Amino acid sequence: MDTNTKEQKKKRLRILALFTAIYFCAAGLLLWLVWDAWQRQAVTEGGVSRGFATEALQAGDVLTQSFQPVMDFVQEITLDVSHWPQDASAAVEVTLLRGCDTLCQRRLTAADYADGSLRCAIDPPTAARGGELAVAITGADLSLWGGDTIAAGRFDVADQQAGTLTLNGQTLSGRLVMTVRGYNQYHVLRYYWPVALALYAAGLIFLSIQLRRPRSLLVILSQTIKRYKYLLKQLVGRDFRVKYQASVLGVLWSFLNPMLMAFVYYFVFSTIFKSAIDHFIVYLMSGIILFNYFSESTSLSLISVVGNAPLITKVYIPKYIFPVTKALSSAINLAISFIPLFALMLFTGVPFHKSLLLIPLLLFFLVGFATGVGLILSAMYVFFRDVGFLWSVLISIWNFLTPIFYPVSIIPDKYMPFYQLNPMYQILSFARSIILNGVSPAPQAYLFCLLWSMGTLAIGLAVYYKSQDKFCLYL
Amino acid sequence: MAPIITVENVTMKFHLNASKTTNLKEWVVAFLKKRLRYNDFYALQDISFTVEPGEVLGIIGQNGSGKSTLLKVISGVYKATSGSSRVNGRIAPMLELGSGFDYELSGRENVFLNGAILGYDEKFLKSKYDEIVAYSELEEFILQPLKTYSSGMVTRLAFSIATLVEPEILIVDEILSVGDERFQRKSRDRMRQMMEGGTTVLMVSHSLDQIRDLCTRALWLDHGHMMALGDTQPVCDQYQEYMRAKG
Repeated sequence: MDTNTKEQKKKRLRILALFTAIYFCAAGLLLWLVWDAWQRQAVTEGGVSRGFATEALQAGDVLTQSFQPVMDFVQEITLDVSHWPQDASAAVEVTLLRGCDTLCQRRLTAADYADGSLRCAIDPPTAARGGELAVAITGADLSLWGGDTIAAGRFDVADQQAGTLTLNGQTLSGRLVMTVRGYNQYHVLRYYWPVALALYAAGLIFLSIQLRRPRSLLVILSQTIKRYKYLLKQLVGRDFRVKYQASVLGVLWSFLNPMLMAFVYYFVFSTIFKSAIDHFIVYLMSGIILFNYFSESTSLSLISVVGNAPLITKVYIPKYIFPVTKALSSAINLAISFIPLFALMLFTGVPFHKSLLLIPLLLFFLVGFATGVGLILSAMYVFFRDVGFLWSVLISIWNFLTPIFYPVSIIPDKYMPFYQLNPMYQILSFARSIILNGVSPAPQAYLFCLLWSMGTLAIGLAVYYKSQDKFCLYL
Repeated sequence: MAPIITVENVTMKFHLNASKTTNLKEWVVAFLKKRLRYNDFYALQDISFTVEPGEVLGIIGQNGSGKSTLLKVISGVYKATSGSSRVNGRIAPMLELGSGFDYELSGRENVFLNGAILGYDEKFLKSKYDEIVAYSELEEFILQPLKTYSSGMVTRLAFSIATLVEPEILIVDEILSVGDERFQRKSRDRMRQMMEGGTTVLMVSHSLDQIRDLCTRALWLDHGHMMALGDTQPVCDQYQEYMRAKG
């Protein structure tokens, strides 16, 4: 008895230590990956297209453009120059003002001028919230570009807020063509470790209570996993073997299919959307493989319970194993199709960033969401076979509501709040951020993805558990 | 010794949908018209009994008397409306022709798939594999896809898996007519051997001779009610009497 408890104590401690080690490694890794992105979000504003050139400034003229940036801090202002002073020693003075206060004053020379644009760094970055800003420019023989229409095709840039352009106090029509770069500041990282530690403490307390009880949730869970691990493996293996059995190329189709799809889309849409998106083929491919996973796993889950009716009505097997199997066997397919995606990235010169390490988290969100949807669908399908027809229509509508082959910027601003409710939009944006842009998504993207995937999974499990006892009566 | 199966006051009520709605439109229409009617049907009413380890319990009764339902409640496929059934051991239901099989896969793969469905792990199945194949007499065909098998071959494989994995409880629902005459004899011998080896067996059969021959106790069900439970011979006599009186 004594040795037994001592041994149990040792085992408990070992599990807790393992939990601690894994938890802090994961938390540290995540912090490292999100460090920059969770501190600030880069914002670029601009988008007025060149319409006219201002008259060349005389010595003593002050050209002032007021503007209202939607960002926390302004870092840099770029002006489009139509004519740069001929005099090599000429200097241009740029002043950033709020009302009458001078926030930053810079003297710029030919060194700051390149390719028709004048870059003026605002150092230190200036807080932009709380009132209109104005940029005042003086410099002899300088002419700048102005305009009054928003440029088409510059999808990545937010529209500039209205502002007025004045010359020596006199209002001119139109506004200067300029790009304002800056960032929004997040305060999430300040709470990172407190929250992480609180979660750790909660997890530790939960674990140690669970480990002390003989028939705890944890024990039941591990027994269930142990008991049905092999069955799960067999069922997933069966799906896989049956899928590729009669095809000559076999598993190679997992590579080829998304590749060919991506090329088809590429040829169809490249003339329309290519210019708006860098690395269009990678953009397409990442969208296709992720959405394909979603549509494949949900469509297969849908029929999984009804399809296994002969088994379900004869043997006791936990019934959730059928939809879960489908979500997992499709996930293997998804994992395989990442290989051609990486190959394509290599081929088209998309750099590999450390942000790619966030892919497991992405898969966790996606698989969680798809499993939740699959559980709900498979349960509904038992009672109403209409769901099958309905879902095939819904999934193709969903396909078009998700930015797979078009840029998000073609969606009008007024619809964006609704458009963003699409969980697949959130997941695809997350994926493109880590694959194409090489940066971790903003903190709210994590929150949305987490809520969507875990929320759907929880609802799916609840619906499934509530209805599964009735399955046998309808099969 | 503690009973291996305990069935306590089990009632199974089927909630039959009288308006027969199988699609969403009909359901919504019926729901809106408040015509969603349900008929309650009691397949089992207040059944209680226990089975000791090593017993062979035969369940008899007319068609629709609830025999198969009772087996399904015990094996956990159905959840009883009220009452409880507890089982202290591993159940192997002898699956009807091919219900646990995938016809695209080979016989070998199906042995492992079916074994996994019955709840066994890889190591155990590997150790039993040769024995199963030898017993089913399918050595030549075991690597062929199951779709090329004759129905007799499939049944032989199913029987071999269910009986050779040595379950603590075997559930047999009317399938002692496996394969040709020789294999039938062989399978009956195997059943006897298992019963003598201490396996608990629950058996449903319409052949009273089979029940009298194999079972140690018998349970007579009629329209979900327990009519009699006791030694095989008297219960079978009672049942035969009743059936004769009914004509």
